[in-house]
Amino acid sequence: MISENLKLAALLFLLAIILIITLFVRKDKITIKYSLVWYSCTFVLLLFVIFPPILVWLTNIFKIQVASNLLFILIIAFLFVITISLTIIVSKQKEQLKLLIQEVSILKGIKDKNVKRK
Amino acid sequence: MKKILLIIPSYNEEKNVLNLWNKICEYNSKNQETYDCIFINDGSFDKTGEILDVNNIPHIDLITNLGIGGAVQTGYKYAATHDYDIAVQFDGDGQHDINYVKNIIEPIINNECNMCIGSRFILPKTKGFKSSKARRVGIKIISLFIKLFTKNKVYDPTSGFRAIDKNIMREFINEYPSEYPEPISEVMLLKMKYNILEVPVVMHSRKEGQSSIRAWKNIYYMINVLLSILITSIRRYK
Repeated sequence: MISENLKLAALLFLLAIILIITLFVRKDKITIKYSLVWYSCTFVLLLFVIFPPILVWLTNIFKIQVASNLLFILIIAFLFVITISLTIIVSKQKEQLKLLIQEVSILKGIKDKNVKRK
Repeated sequence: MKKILLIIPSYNEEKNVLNLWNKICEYNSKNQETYDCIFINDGSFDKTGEILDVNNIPHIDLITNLGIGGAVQTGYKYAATHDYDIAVQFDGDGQHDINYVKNIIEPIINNECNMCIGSRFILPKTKGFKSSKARRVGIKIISLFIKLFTKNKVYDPTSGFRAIDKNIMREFINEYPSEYPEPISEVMLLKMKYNILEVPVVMHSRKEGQSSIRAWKNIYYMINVLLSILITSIRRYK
């Protein structure tokens, strides 16, 4: 089974991540909306650390030989979710940026023309 | 009398813009036409912007490079806010001939279609520049793909010489593909049940500067366009 030391280390690591994300949110470096995906992923991992039987139970259900393999699969899945959400955010921002550049350029053109006429 | 605007996307075209502007003015005075034009300077780093400024040529300077899609869309926005009836995309590199503008706007004036494409390939006897053999095969494949997904044949789907009416302007303001906009926007429009017509035009090989589609990018380009056509055609439209 998981040793107490490992459990403690994992616990501290996850709490540190939660703390760091919270600090960033507090300083407005991460918006609350985008912090949610991190909170939910770390929360699930935290559950496994505090209640290891859940992990063992899941491992048996999927007939995975070692519990750590399931953990790896889960972490990779979380990273997938996080990168996909980042791709969505970037795509949306690209569209917003395009709109902004177009509108500013049109307005700037009108403004410059007005200045010249005077 | 319909108000007509030529939208001319120009990215590093310092050697072509003044030439083209003179040609448009000359054409207008010779034929008693009133084609307006707007150059979209797509964040050029050469003297394009300076030349446009000094010669008092109507233009919009994009504050940074947006790519062909974003640049042309800016032109459509300008056309719509200034109440133009027809917007013609006209390349700034000397490939398109001003004398054919009347041919491609005519079907729209007669309400025969919503978009009219100046096509290099619909008549076997059209002369002029038809791009390299490899490029032609590529265009055939794109054309076939569009036919497959929309059941409509577009013979020259990559032609950037196109005229659109107000209805399509409204669509394009909301949504216009940023990359490889020509074939993708055609699929979009066909799916929205707009009419697209093609008329034969003669194109010239480019005079100065480089085409936006470079040779080593061709395979990447094809994969991208075909994939985009596929995705655009399975999207849902109102």
